[in-house]
Amino acid sequence: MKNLKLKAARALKDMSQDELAKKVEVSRQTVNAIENGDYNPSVNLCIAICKALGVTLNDLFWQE
Amino acid sequence: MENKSPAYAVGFICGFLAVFAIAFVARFILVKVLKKKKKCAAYDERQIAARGKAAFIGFIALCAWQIFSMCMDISFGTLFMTPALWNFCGLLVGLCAFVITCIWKDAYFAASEKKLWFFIFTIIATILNVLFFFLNYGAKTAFTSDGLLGTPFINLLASFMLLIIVINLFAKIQIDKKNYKEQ
Repeated sequence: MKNLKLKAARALKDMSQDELAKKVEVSRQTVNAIENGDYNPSVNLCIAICKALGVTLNDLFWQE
Repeated sequence: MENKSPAYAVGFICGFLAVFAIAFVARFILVKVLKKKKKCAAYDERQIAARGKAAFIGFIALCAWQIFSMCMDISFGTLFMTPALWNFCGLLVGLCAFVITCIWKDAYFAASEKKLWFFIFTIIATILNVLFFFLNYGAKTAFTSDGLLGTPFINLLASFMLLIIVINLFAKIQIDKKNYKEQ
C-alpha cells in the first residue's frame, strides 16, 4: 500500500526524495520504495524520517 | 578421460588456493585503505535486505541447475561438456541470478546514478572473454578427445552471462530514467 502521507509530508516541506534520503542517510531508491509501499522500513528509519520531516510516527505510519 | 599426474593435480590445487589467498588478502587491504580514506560505501537497510534476497535467489538458481544436470545425466547419459565446465556453468547461473536481482532491486547502487564504470567494465569483460575464447579456439583446445566441450568454453559462457547482465543493466537504467522524470 502506498504511503501517501509520507509523500504529502515531504511535499509540504518542499523536499525532494533525494534531499530526504540524504538527510536520513539512505538511498533515494529506499525513500521511493517506502513511498510506493514496496518496502517496510525499520522503526529506526521511521523515526529518522519523522525527525527529518518534523512530524510524529503516528502522522506518517499509523494506519486507521 | 585424460589422466593427470599427481604432481599436476597438486600443482593445480595449490595454484587455485594461491589465487584465492591473494584475492582474499587484496580485498582485505583494499577495504582497510578505503575505510581509512572514508571512501567505503555505506548501504542502507533496504539494500542489505535486497542483497539477502538476491543471495537466496542465486542459491535457488544453483540448486535448480544441479537438478537440471541430474535430469540431463539420467536422460542422455552425458552432459555434453566436461564436468569442470558444467559445474562452472552452475556457478555462472547462480552468480547471474544474484547480480540481476541486485540490479533490479538497487541492492548496491542505483543503476542510473553515475555508475557508468560498472557498465563499461562489464562490456570490456564481455569483449575480453569472447576474445580469449577465439584465441583458445584457434589453438584447437575447445573440444576434448571425447567430443565434449572443453574448458575454453568457460570464456564464451562467461561472456554470455556478462551480456545478459549488460542487457539487464541497460534496461534498468532506461526504466530508472523514465521513473525519475515522471517524479
